[in-house]
Amino acid sequence: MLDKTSNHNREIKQKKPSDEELIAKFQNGDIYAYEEIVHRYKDQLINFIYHFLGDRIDAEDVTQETFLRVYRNKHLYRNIAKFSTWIYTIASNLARTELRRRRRRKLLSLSQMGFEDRDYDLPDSMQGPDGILDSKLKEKVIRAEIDKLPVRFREAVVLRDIEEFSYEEISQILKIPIGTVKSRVNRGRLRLQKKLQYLLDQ
Amino acid sequence: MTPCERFKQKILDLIDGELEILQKKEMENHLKSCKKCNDFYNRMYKIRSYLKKLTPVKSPESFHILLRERIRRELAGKANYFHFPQAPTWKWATILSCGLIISILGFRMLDQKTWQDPRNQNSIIQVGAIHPSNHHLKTSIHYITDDVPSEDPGSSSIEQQKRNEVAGDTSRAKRTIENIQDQIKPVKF
Repeated sequence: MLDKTSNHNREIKQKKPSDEELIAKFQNGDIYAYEEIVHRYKDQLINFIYHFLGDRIDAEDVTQETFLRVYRNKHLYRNIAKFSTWIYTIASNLARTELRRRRRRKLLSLSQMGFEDRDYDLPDSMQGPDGILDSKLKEKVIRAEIDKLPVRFREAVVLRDIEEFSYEEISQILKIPIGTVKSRVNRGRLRLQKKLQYLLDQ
Repeated sequence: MTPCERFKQKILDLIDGELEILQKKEMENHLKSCKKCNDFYNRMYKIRSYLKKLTPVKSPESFHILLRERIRRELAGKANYFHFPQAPTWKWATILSCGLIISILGFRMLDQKTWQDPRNQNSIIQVGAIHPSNHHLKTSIHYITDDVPSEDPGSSSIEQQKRNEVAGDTSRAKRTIENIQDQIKPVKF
């Protein structure tokens, strides 16, 4: 009986279409294939963009925009690259655009403020070891430090350590050589290590 | 390069588990003997595991509904516009319009060359044709090109006076023509 069930499960797993098959179906007009793509990638993408932007609402918005772009530009996908690489490239480009827009908005609002009003730094995460007992708080501190990383290090670290892509895949997503990816991941981790030293020594 | 520096260079591969067995053993031996590198390795390893353990952010339940709504809006927006031709048609239209622009520009440049060509005897005289009513200018042009109209014995004294005035002011006439040559575009006849 058990054997039968496991065989059945294996069959179901085998029948599960790959991302590339799904996008091919969608290119031929199968809207259910698109729904399946959304279902597969929505959480991964929102997680990636959230770590990139540090804001949940913006992350949801950019994720939706990513899926909309996939819907609109489905014909642009060619089966020479992995679908995941393609969709993450779209997402990271949109996230970068959002960051640029935000920076511009910030500059604009800062220029309109008086000198006394310019209180725009994130709250200091160096509260000392006593304050960071709660794991949720620890997470918050780590997320805040990820947010402070320069964009080029942040995206590499998030793709490698949170989204768990291979270096080759990251190199395709970000369109940079593998050596550069490795160097960015390493430097990003080093920076985090320095900032969170008090947390790591506990 | 010291062993510690070499270790730091390869620490990323060690943490990611991408080292060959021999290299891995060499690194592990160094870790046992060097406390500084061992601490550094532990911190880097911890960072990676913290990042891996971060609670993943999940999409809200309304995500699908909102996305569908957005797509519907996009499609409705498209339907409101008049029907645009497909991409290949656009490509040909662009190529054709570029060709047209290039040929217009080419013709204009050819015309300009005719105007600037010093061998073309008629080119200066053409200026006069732009202002046919300008008697002074016309006469000046004739003067400069040595094509002074023959004196009519029966012409009135007023006309004779006018001709003399213009002939006396050669330099002004020359300047006028130089200015016009600079400013006026070629004229087709």
